Amino acid sequence: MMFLDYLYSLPNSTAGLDNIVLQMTSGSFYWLVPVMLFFTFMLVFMGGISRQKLKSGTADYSAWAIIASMATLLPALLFSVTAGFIRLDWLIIVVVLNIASAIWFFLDRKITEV
Amino acid sequence: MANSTITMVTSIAMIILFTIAILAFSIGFANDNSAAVRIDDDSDINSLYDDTSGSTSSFRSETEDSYKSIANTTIEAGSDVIKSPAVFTLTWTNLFATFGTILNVIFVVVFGGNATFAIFTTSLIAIIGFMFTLYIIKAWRGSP
Repeated sequence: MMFLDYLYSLPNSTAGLDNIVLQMTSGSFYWLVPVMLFFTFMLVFMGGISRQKLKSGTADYSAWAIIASMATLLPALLFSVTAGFIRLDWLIIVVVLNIASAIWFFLDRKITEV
Repeated sequence: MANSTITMVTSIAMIILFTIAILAFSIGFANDNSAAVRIDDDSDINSLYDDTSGSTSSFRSETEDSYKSIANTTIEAGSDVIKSPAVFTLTWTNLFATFGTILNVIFVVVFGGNATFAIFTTSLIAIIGFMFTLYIIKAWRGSP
């Protein structure tokens, strides 16, 4: 009988399901949280743009960028409560993404829109 | 794109206020929930927060001083009009300095240092030069 080689060590499931997720994100599956944050951002950003284009013909890219980045910041802050989910540099990148979106948004406004 | 002084200063002031709000919310969230990963552990973020808060206070005091000097202006009967426009000036150098600080922190955090940032700016300049060359060729050919 041939045994399969696992790419990661099997987590200890006696401490509960949430502990399994924590072991995986701090171990071999460390990119789960960044991918989830990227998915959240692109879901709001692309979904908002496509729906607005479908309804009105044009899309406000900078406004959807700032909405998407703020929607990404909330789960990123929730992930930061427990150790092991998100690293400090990822959290900083999300915050910086917010500020960059704000720069794009406010410099993109016309004089009657600010 | 902003095309006047009032729009430009308003945009930069709103950017700085948004930066203060986001940083204050993130730091406050970490304090309230005793978060394991804290945004204020980073020195760049801390200095940016202090700088934006300080420049906003400076801008407010500058605006108040300028308004007071306008409101306190008196013209004696029979005297000449005011020759200097100093009472109407309002400096907003702090806002622009803070805007530069915000951009600097973004580049340091995202691009991680000078080398990568140099590659980024070189690529950006190359793209601008490429588009500029294409516009020259299009204008010379006369095609749309």
